[in-house]
Amino acid sequence: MRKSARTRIRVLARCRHVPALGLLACVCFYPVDLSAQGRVVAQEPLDIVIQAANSLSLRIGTTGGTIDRVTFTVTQLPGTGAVAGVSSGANPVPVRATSTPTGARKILTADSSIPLNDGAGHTIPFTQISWAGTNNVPSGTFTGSPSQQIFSTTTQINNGTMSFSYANSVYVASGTYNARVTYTLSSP
Amino acid sequence: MMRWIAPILCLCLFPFAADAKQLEVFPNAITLELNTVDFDRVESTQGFLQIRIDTRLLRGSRWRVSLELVLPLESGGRTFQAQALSWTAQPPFVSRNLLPNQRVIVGEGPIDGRTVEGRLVWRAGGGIPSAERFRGRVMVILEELP
Repeated sequence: MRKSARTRIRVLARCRHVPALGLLACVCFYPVDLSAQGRVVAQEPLDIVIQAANSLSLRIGTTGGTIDRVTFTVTQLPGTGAVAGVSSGANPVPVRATSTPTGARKILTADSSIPLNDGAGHTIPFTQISWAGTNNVPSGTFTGSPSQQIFSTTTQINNGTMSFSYANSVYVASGTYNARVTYTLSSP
Repeated sequence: MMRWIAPILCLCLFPFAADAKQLEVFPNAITLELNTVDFDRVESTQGFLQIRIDTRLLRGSRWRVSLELVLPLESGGRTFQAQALSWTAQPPFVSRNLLPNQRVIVGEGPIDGRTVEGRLVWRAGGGIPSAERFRGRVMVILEELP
């Protein structure tokens, strides 16, 4: 019993430094914020930059890579009135032209420099074909030039349309005439 | 009394000396570019963030890594939504998106002396009406749980 008491006293004597040790440990091991659930031990910053690029988007006709075909079926003599075209896609032909930034100037041009031809040497000039535009798309007639300006605008064109017609004012050899118009949207 | 000081100092300084190795993040900046590909569809380039945790220097039973947006993504008074910034990851990290004014847990695991490594692949979503450059800062936070 006496030996045991002496041991206890010795242990207590050794523990005199324990409170001081505990205090030091607290100060040294908890140098950063304590969160509600865990202890933050390290932090590293990460800088993030998000860059929106300038862009132009144009769609005339069907979505995707499809090239719509507008057909004029002429059953009347020249001079008896225009013939309305019918698109293989939506009718009238949808037009969308947008940009980032939204207020950027957008210039739409058309290349109609290669006239309609029947493959047998007969041609019809593109000046025979016109369109009626809606929703900020102006109406006009193809000039047969490689860079005819269709419009120049700073507004976003989201739901414009074009309805095409053939003037049918010149005599041409009977047959099927084909050609392609290529539109380009650009920003200065 | 003096015999206590050296070991205590060693114990105290050890975590500080090892601090840089507990959590490593590379790189410390990423740039994401938003491109309009088809009118309403915006595509983001990817940004890669490597995270490395050395659990040998941690105490407690589990580690946890969180992200916190400490500087909102801003450009001339306009703010890019935190939610539109997301990442994909493989375990033990998880795929999520940022949230404003709160920590988002990226991953959690046992403190078992192993090194934990992972990659977050960042993307930005949503459309931006003008060509702007948003800048912000995220803090990668490592915690040890009891």
